[in-house]
Amino acid sequence: MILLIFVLVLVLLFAVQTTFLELFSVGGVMPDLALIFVVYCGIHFLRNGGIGVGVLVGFIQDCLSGALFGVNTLSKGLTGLFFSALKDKIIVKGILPISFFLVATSLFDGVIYFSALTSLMGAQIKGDFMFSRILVFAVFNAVAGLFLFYVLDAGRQQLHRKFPNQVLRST
Amino acid sequence: MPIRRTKGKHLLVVLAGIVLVSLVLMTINIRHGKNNLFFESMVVWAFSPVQNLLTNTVDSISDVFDHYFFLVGVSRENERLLLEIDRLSRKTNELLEKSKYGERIEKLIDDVDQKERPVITAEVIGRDATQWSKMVFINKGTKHMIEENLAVITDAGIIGHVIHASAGTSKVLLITDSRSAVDSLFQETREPGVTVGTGKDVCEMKFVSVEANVKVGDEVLSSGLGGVFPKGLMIGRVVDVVKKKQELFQDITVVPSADLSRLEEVLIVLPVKEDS
Repeated sequence: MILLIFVLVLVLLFAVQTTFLELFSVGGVMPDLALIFVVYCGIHFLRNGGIGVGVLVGFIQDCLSGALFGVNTLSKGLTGLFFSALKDKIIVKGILPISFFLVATSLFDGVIYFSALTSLMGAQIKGDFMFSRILVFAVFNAVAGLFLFYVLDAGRQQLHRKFPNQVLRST
Repeated sequence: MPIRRTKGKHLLVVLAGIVLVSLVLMTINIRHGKNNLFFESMVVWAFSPVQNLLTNTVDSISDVFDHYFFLVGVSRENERLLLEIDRLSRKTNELLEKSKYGERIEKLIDDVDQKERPVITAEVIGRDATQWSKMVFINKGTKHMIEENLAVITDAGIIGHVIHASAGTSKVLLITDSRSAVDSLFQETREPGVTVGTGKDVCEMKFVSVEANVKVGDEVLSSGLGGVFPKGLMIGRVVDVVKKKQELFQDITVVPSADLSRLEEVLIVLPVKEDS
């Protein structure tokens, strides 16, 4: 059941990301729901479940993107690994820590993509444009992330009430 | 202590695994070029029904808003449109005259490429799942004769080309993507150049000599070189020209003639079949 719900959430997130999320874009920049979801799973999946989620989400995002294949698998996989490994050692609750980590992971995601695009694909992008875009992206993700974290938290608690499990944190 | 060390080793192995898998995927992508990857087609196939459903739902809702709730200023809009119809009627007459003149001239010229290019219409059902790439999904694929490297246009001009085709859907890389390049020329002066994407909403025309006479408002067309885009399709209009004396080429900014942020229906230009 949990697997089914997980798949449904994933499909819904990607469907929203690739269809009408652009309506909420600011200057052509929109939040990355997949990235926020990976950070959430990295924090709230027990054991190292967040790593698997990171790789899977990154892989699906690669399939649904025109960018270089593997870039999202790398950045989301590393994000999942980071939070899975450190979630018990750092503060990951509260508005400020969540916003901080969302900004940091967004910057990391943007820099990996920018590096891959310019070095491996030979694309010519003006650095100042790309970095200002990455900054807006990071701030936007932090704002949208707080809302998505709230929704996912509510769903997770509901899930625990109906189907107690050892996959997600209960608190 | 040993448990911590084992955990550390375990994480290092996972880290190496993630990096390795990603590098393998990138290598496959670069080596295969624009060929179809099986798992890519599978994921696109799995997600396209949901994308279709959501796009149709959003369109229906926005239709309701457009036709029932946003009626403020309709009367003013109506007056403006009546004036526009008058203007367009006069323009149509002028164009009809020009068209007849063109037909007569065409009969005189032995044109090499007389065959009309067949096109297929498709709907845009989704956009790129990442922030950084400019790509759209269309609801036509290999079973509708779509293949890689076909030009995709609207009535306003070129929007991009197909980079991946699966059975029922395809990915179209827009001309504003930083990896896109279209061999082009200016309509008036016939000066050649290459229109490349910038990742923003505009393109740049590269390799145009500082000696060339380029003005704001000049129209840019596809040159037909490169084999993807047929000759003479509208790409966009020049909005900025910067000439620096110490440089060989001008910095030219081109705004695409098609509105790439509001794509709904597009045309895919099929290759001309050679009659044997």
